[in-house]
Amino acid sequence: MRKKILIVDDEEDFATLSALRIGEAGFEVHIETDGGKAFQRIQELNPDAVLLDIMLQTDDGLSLLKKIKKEMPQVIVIVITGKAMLMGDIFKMEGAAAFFKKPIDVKELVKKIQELTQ
Amino acid sequence: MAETPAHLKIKKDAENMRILLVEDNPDHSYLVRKSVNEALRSQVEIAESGEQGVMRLGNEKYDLIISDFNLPGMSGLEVLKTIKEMGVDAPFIMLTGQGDEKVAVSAMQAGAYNYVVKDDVCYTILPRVISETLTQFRADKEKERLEREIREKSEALEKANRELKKLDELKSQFISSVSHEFKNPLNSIQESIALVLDGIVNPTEPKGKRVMEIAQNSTERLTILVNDLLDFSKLEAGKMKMEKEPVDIRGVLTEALDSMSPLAEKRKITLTCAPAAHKMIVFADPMRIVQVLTNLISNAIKYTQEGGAIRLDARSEKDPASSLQKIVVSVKDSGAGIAKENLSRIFERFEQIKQPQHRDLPALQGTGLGLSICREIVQLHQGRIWVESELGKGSTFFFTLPRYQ
Repeated sequence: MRKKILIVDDEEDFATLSALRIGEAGFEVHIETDGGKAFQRIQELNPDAVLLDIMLQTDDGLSLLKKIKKEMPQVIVIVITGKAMLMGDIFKMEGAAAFFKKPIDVKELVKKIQELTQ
Repeated sequence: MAETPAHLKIKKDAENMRILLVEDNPDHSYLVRKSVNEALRSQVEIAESGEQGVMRLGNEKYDLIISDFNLPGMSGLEVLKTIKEMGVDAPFIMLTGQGDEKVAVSAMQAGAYNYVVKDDVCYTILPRVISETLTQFRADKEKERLEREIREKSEALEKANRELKKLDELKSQFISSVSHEFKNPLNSIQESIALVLDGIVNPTEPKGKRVMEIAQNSTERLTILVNDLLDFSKLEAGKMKMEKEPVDIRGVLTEALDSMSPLAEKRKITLTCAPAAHKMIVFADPMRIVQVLTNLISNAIKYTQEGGAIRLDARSEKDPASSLQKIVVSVKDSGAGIAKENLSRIFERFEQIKQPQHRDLPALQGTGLGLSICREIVQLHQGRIWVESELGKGSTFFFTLPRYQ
């Protein structure tokens, strides 16, 4: 069965492009651009991994990360951020499996997803 | 070099003075007046008591005051203290009796510039004392003035320095945020191309078309960013030239409306313009005014909900200050409005008020330079730009242009 990936990112264009490459690698990819609906979407989909943009406008990404790891600890969360000053360590402490800083090399991202979902 | 003869020096410093002498003894007054008139060609007025002296000094301005210490009623020292309190700004010379050093000391402490002991020769040395006192007084005044000037200048410098530091900080923040703004669309373009080259999508199929659209949107966004930055640096260097010509503002409004209509339609916002029936000729650079308008309209679209409305208008008005006719252009939206505390900041450089983003309209995200560019362009037309707004009730941006006479 194909592994399910949810991209939570308010930049729809980039989410679409990432989804195409991740999909090509054999994953079933979904996109959620509304941070406020993200948690509900995760509960419905029960994805194997979530790509979480921490600069979401409508919800604080860090609190969303905490909520996911508390209520659905089995979900792998990969944090993506455009903010340089937010360091990866904080996210890893909160349970993120990996951390990517924008601009992202999507090929590297796909490799990481493959590695984490094996 | 030969030294200037003493009597010439005195004349140079102390000629044509207006001097008040407070003296009750007419003989002494006569001697003082005679000696001063001869040596300094200055006018000496006499007050016969301390009270009279104070009254005169309250009403008129003197260059120098000489007062006897021993006066009936108010003493010379009391006169000195009183006029200091009144703020009389002239040097004071006290005439004291022989062997009265204590009096002299207390007079100097109270702010007298000099003292002269009354004796047989005092009238002959008085002109020299007056001259020296005036020289000293003027030097002190000049020193005070210079000190004040230095203090003011250093305060101004400190203030300018603080402002520069603040601007520098804003500039650094701006550069970091702009480079971020550049990275995102560049990243999208790179990834779009990579998806095609890697054979993941085919541009002739729907998915590939979507990828190409994303790349195109991203290049548009980059174009806007680069144009903003170029305009901004041109304006900073004072190198932006306005190519002004007489032009009907209605045509300018229509052009801006046409170019922004597709974006408004996409957001289901009604964009209208109701130009007056008569011509309104302004003296302006039409390209630049279209730029100002499209900037204001794109801001309005950014802050207006679906189903909202934006209205462009232009009216002729008389400037109450110059009584010249001017054209007032307005862009009114039914959007979110601007908080009072942000109203004064929005035209400043590098200011980008936190704003909701529209994922379907990435082209609307700007550098935070747009409004400051608008302001510069309007000012280069001797116009004024301002905004009236209330949170939740929408905003109206206005700017003025000179009417072509």
